[in-house]
Amino acid sequence: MNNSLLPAAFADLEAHVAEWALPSFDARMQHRAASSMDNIRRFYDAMQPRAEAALAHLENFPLDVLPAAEQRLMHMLYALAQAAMAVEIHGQPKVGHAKLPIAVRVLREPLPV
Amino acid sequence: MAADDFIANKWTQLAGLKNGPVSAESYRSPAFYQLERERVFGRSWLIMGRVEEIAKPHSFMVKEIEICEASVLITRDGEGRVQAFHNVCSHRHNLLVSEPQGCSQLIRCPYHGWAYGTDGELRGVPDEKCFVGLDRKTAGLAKIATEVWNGWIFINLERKPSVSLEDFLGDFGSFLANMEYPNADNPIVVEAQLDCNWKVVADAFSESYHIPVIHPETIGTTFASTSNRTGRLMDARFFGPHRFCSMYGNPDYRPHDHQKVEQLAYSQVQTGSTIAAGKVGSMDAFLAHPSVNPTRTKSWSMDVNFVFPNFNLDTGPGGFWTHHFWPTSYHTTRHEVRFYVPKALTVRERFQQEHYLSRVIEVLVEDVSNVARVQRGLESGAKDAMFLQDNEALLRHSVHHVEKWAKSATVQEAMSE
Ligand code: FES
Ligand SMILES: [Fe+2]
Repeated sequence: MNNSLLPAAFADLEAHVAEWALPSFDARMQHRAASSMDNIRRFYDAMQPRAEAALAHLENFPLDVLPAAEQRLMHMLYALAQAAMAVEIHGQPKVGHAKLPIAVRVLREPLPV
Repeated sequence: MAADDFIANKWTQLAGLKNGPVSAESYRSPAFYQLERERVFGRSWLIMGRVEEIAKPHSFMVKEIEICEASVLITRDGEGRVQAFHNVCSHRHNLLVSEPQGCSQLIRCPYHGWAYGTDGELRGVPDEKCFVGLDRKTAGLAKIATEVWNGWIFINLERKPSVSLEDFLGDFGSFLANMEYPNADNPIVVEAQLDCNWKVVADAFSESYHIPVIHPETIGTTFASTSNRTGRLMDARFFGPHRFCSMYGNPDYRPHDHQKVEQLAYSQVQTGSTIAAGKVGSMDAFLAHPSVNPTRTKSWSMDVNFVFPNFNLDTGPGGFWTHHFWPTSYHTTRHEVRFYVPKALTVRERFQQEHYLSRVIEVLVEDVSNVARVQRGLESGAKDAMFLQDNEALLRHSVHHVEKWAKSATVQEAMSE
């Protein structure tokens, strides 16, 4: 039994799994909004250079039945989209005048989740 | 185009209204809210959703209309007919269905087990012999007036609606008729409970004057440019209590060099717009509709179709999305948004949708994080009136018609010219 959290080629990203490979949009969004900019940056700087390779790897699998390690990698990519809101758009962890937790909730996410 | 080309100063007049201050009372008065309950939400045709939400025979969904204390059960029966009922058991009025949706031939009340068909008929009563004189035929679910129009499910809470849906929509019906709705079966559903009057949040989605200020980084540069810095409207039209506007979009928007994730998300997916999830090619029939981007400009971001009293149908280069503004008290609102997106078939499409959703949620957060501040300002009583500019004509039109419905003893009077 292989106990790796991520596919072998992405083992270097495993340290970020527990914090960022969260299984729902709201969990990822709330986590990013409540994180420090340094924290978001650390994840962004690790994940962003690997994103193209991650997409290319995941393209080898059927989208709706990813193996567990690939599913985590997909969630890491989704979390990168969240990190990009802070890094590439706001320049801060969340919308400046928004209160925590963020009031907006996603009841039905894009599929597959 | 130069900036001044967008000065119209004619929308207010087109709305049949005069410039000048607008009273703030309808946004903060508990007494006015009671009138809205009875005379606006209690008498208007209300859009509850789309037929795709209950696609299969015997499927149903429950929607709440808090302001009217109505729980509404909308079913598709075995014959395919769509009908709304009060979600209330005939026996001792327990709320019947508690899940937001379901599918089953029999709907059983969780209190004493009375069972109903999806056609609303009473089908089963435990120990029926002890109900002396019970006539099943008169003990079905209470029907609510229902019409399906272009796939939209409308209901009217008046027992006998004073106005037909056709007359209620009037020329707005012709304006919107036969629109295609791409991806109508695949909405992303978003909800926010807000500390503001429902019109405060509705207003935030009816003008583009605020966009460069409150959304500077998320969409400021997609909705404005040096030729239209303050979001002046491209078009506005008014149809009885309903309204429309078309918003400017910067045709030259591109992600900056440092926006690596945004570039990656959009790099191999053709969406027709920098903030959209629709697929180019599948949008053609929708975009060809004469009321989608009616000025046929390249500088287009989106249109707002505001169906009175509380529903936005928005259209953009990547498809359509909707807002429901449901009042829950005179100063709280349940805001529901649906973004209709294609089913992602590849990893790259799915990643693009995640980035798209992340971005539009940030935009929503920018809007709705401000509404409680507006409500506090309104309730402080510091000011009697608001100053609205010509590009805020939809807000002026909204207040005018909500006040008119609230004042009118009859719907005929509310709808009169
Ligand atoms: S209230 Fe529904 S069965 Fe009694
Ligand atoms: Fe906005």
